[in-house]
Amino acid sequence: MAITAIAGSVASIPTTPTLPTTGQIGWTGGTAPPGSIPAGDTAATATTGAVAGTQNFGQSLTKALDSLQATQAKADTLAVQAATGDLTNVHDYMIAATEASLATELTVAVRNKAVDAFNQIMNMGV
Amino acid sequence: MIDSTGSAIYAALNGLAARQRVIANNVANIETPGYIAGKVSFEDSLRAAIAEGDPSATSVAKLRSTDPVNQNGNNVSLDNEVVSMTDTDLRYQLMVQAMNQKFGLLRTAIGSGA
Amino acid sequence: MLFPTFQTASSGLGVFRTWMDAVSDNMANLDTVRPTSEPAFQARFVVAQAIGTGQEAMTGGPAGAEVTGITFGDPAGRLVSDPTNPLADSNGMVRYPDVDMGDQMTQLMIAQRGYEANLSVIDRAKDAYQQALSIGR
Repeated sequence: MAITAIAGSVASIPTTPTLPTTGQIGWTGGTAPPGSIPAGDTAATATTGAVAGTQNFGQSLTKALDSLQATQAKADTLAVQAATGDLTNVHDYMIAATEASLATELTVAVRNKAVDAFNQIMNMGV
Repeated sequence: MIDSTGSAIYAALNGLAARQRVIANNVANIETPGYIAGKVSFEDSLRAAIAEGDPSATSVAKLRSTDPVNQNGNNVSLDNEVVSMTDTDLRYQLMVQAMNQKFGLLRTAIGSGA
Repeated sequence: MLFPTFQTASSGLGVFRTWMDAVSDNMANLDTVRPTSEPAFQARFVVAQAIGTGQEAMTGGPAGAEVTGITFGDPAGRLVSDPTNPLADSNGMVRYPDVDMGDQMTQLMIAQRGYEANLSVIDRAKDAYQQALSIGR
């Protein structure tokens, strides 16, 4: 389907940064970047501990990009179950459909920005 | 542009629309002597067609209800018809939402937005 | 069915409707006279049972109530002295049914309230599901 081709093309542009977990764009790994909260800080563990078990915003966006195909497949499966009358919880399908829509919009937005960035680089002049 | 899921949703829409018509007919004939209520069955056919891989091969069958008849020879049960009507109505809305969502994904990819 | 609540409420509607039918049968036969050689008109009582164990209701399996049978009241009835009745025996007695109108009226009101309660369940469930259909819009 057309959507998976777009996701594939995003991954193949070499200069596209993947969203890092530390929340600072452009950081590609290593020890803690300047300005981030050190791991041993109790205040940090308190604030991050308060939402222990859930991801931060960057992680959830990355996950959405990676699992676009799976999200759409899940929405499709639930739609077919609803069509044959086998779906017990209507909200399951509605939530899966909304997730699929938003994941698609996210992927398309990232693609658009990446293409814009590429064009800007190409137009920078020799 | 419609994939196998969209085709299953379309088959369900057809089946549910047929069911709505039959229910309306039953309710109109609730006092007619000798009238046997009708029922529409498409879910089993749809399930089998999906398992085969071709949801468009669903057949919508109109059957006669096997409920017991009353003194008039009429076997329409108003409670069952009203509940059926509500259920069919909600399922139809759900299928319309599903169809809209499928087309919405395509539209997002094309880039013309919501 | 896609929405198990509707199935359950519909079974409840069936039970209360049958109950009202039984009460109307009893009320129609309040004065059905029989000779003493035959049993009197016996009041109809509806026997209802729950469907399933209640655990299935959580996962959307079969739930609700169903009518499992009808039992009949006292066949002896009330012996009433009515010598002018063509069915009277040598002592002038006939059998009247052992049906108390006050009791039947109470049952009718309870059955009606039960019927309305189940209709209200269907109505609220319909509203809830329509709200679910607008998730993400």
